Amino acid sequence: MKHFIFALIGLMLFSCSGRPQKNKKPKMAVVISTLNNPWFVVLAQTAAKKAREMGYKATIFDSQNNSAKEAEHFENIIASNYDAILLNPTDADGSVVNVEMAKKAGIPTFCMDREVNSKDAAVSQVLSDSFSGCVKIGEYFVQQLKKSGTYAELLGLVGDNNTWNRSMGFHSVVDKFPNIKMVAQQSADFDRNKAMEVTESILQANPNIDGIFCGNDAMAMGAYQALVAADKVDQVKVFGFDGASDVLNAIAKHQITATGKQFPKLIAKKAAEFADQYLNGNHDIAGKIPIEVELVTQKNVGKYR
Amino acid sequence: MNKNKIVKYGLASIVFVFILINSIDIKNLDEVKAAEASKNFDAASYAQNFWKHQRMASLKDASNIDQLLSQLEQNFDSTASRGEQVGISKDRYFLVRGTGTVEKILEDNVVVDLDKNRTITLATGFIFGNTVRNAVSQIAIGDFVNMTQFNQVSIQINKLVQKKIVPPLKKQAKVGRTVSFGGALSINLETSQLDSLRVIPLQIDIREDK
Repeated sequence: MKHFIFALIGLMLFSCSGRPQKNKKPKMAVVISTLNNPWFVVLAQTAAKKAREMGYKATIFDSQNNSAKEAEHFENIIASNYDAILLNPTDADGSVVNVEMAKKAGIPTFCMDREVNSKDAAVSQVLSDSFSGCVKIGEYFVQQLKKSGTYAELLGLVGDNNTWNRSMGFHSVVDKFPNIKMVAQQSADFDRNKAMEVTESILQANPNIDGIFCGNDAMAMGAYQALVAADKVDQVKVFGFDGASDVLNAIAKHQITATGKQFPKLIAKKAAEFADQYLNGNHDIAGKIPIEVELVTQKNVGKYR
Repeated sequence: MNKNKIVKYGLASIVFVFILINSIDIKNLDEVKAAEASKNFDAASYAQNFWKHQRMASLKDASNIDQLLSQLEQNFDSTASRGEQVGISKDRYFLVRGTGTVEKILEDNVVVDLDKNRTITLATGFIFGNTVRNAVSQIAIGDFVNMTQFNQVSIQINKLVQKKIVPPLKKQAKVGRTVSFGGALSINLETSQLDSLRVIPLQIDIREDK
């Protein structure tokens, strides 16, 4: 009988220990693909700040562009009873299993900037309309090259859907013009240093190109550096994507020709707000929300600085 | 068999079954089939299906272009905001129908005279972007696994417009002829000029002069 009573008390204590205390602050995890890129630092810091303003404890996790690292973070987040995850995924396919793991554990995920290839793993995915943004860049590119010339394309990370949506949008326009030819296409992983190296190689094989389209602004800056070193800044027009402040400054100085301005702060705030709404019982949230990208050129850059 | 052996074999069996259970991942067959199907999305077939079965039905509910322009002139903000919207954007999309007279033929457009001295242009150059897809409410973003699929639908629909509508429009459009059309247009809430609205045609009917 004594043993039975002790067992009962033990069972009661055990079942109580897993329940969150009523007055404990709810928590949001902000999981970012990499903090090595200033654009993602803005995304992470804005998401965390918005979550804190809404009364959550927010922690930023850096996945270092590594799906395995991201999985570790998710395991920690689940074990630590976070209430929601704001995720910038490392890989559109590879990250699905992490989001589903969180979903099974009852933790909703809201994707920011990058999507996962699933209709229902994440509650909502807030991302830039990269395709439409690059249609605008493509139209401007054709205009700037006067419908004729050769160019190179620097792609981003191949596992990121944004890479392909941007390339697809750009090519949906430019490929219609037979006198504009792509002479090189290579991934530089969205990385500035890698973009500089890749551009140097491309210039060695194709010294007379007229334009370079880069899938993000970090690569555009790397490409520009390579052009400076090769003394070809007046010959080659550089186009980026993001609207990062260093590229906006470069556009103003007529160093870079154009970019597509994304709104990372809006993306981050929306994701955090949707998470809060969801946790407060409003589950009527759109599964995917593309956010318009605006074309920034040397003519209108003043509006964005 | 003595007691020790029974216990040993019993424990070994339990361990074996435990390892076996944890080595097998059981999934619902329908879920696996759906996941495979989503990877093999055929945007061209999707667009063809839209073209055959949804295009004309969608245009039946299209706004009359004269009425739309009139409403935009009277109250731009409220009228424009009624258009279809995808995500967060200043662009709104409409399906429209109308009839007018060919006024001018340009390199990439045909200018059509409507009622009350209004004009509209019908696109005859390269067709880019998402205007048609976004104007058709039945093509919903949530129906697609990812943005790549959603965007491929735009590309394929644009190809069909380019192939099936633009050539006959270019060939038959002559100044003075009457043209009835159905199509899609986009309006930017901040910057749209009503005299430069461009319709991506989805259906045309051109008649000779009287």
